Formats: sequence, C-alpha cells, structure tokens
Amino acid sequence: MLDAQMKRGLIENCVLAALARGDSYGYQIVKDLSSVVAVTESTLYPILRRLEGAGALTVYSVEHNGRLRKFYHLTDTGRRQLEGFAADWNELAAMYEFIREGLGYE
Amino acid sequence: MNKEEYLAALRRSLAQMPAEERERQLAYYDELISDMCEDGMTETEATARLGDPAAVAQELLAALPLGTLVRSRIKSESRPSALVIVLLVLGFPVWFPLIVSFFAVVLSVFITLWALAISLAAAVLALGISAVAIPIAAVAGVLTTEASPLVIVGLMLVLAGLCVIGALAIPPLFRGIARLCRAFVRGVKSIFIKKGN
Repeated sequence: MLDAQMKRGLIENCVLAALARGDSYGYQIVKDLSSVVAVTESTLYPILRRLEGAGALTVYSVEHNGRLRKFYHLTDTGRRQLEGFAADWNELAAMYEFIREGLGYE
Repeated sequence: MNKEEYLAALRRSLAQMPAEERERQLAYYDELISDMCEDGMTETEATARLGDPAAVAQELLAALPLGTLVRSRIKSESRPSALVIVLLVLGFPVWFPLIVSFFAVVLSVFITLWALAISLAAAVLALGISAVAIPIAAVAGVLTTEASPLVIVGLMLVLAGLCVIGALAIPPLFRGIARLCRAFVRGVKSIFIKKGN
C-alpha cells in the first residue's frame, strides 16, 4: 500500500495529466483515471478544488442536455507543475531500478 | 435511493458546511449522477456507487480547513433562544477561558512536538561541533588537560559516531512528527464535525 501522502500527490498529477489531453469534466476524469488508479468520485472533488485553489486549473460551465456541465481546463501553472513532476520522476525511476536490483529482480 | 433523495440526504449531512461551498459540492454530485445515468446506469445504481451520503459528507467535511469547520460548527447551531443568550453572556467568564485554553492546548502540542525535533537536531549539531572542536583545541593548546592524545582521539571518535547516529535518526523522526501532527489535526477536526446526521 502506498503512503497516503505519496498517493495523493500521484493522483493529483494524474488528474493534471488527464486534463493535459484536453478539457474534461468530473465523471469523464474518473473514468479516464479508473484504468490507472482507483479514484472515487468523492476523492476527486477535493483534489479538483485544491488544484483550482492553487491555480493549476480553471473551471467553466457548458450547457449539456439542458443542464450545466463543469469543465476543467489545465492552466500554464498546472502544466508547469506536471512538467516538474515528470522531471522529478527520472530521479524516482533511478531509485526504483536500484531497489529492484537490490531485490535481485531482472 | 434516487438522485433527489441522495442529494437531499447529502445536503442534510453537509448542513454545517458554508452555504457557498455546500452548493458547489451538491452541484458536482448532481452533475455526476446525471452523467452516470447518461452512461447507462439507473439513478439507484449511480447513487449506490457514490456510497453512503453520510460517509461522503464526512470525507468532504474533513477536507475543509480547521478554521472554516470551527466557524461553521458555531453557525450551524439553530437560532439561540433568549435563555441561551443570557446564559452565554453570564457564562462568558467560564466558556471564554475554556475556549482559549482549548486552542492553547492544541498549539502547545504542536510546539512540544517540534521543540522535541529541534532540540534533537541541536544536540546532534553540538556533538558534531565538539567532535571537530576538541582536537583543534587540544592541538592549539587552548584545552589544557592531563589526558593523553589517545584519549582525545578516542573522545573525538565517540562524539563523531554519536553525531552520525543522531543525524541518521533525524529524517525519520521529522517524518514521524509530521505524521503525528497530521493525525492530531484530523482528531481535532473530528471534534467539530457533527456525527449521526
């Protein structure tokens, strides 16, 4: 089981990455993420709010079937955060290799 | 549970949340359920997937900052009667110090935890400095002692060793304290979240 703090950070970046593919809405984001990480609808909301508060994404409403649907858009700040994460990842990947070698895996 | 019932239950459980934030969350869940229905689920299936509204509300409330929770908890109490107001005014000398001391206790727990961490770091630093300073002082002749150079070298090694052990213990200790602080904040927050709605 991943450390809760680490997992939250990973999910946050996965949300950003989902939006880097194009603007999206709540349910679609959950569906897009479901193949990589088990994120529930109620865990997604606080993450979206926090990212919005941090200026990583903006929200706008679009009319859909006679109701409003909220779309989330990745800002430049959000994109930079994601790029920073991807850069840090090289370091993590090296550690992961080291750990696997230590355990004697191929 | 259909969509309307689910949102009504969620609204009741979120009663203590600031109105603006509550409406945003309800709009989010409203949209989610509609999207799930468009995706082929029935309203009952959709609400079942979201889980018990009371549990969802607990999670959403726990994500709010402590200050917002305390304020909303105070506001959410139903309109006080005249008697309650009189009691509040008369009881001021009792409840005011109680509230102040409650927050003082919360603050002092934090200060104690971090003071512990900082003092350990200071002790490790002191060990490191003395490990370097003692031989220098001995060579420079500042330290006048009958002890043989061998004892001084031994002392230096012991100090350096203790310093390294201490330094190794610091990162996990800081992480542990940070974790304790988070658990403590969660505990304090749960006091302000109403149960059993």
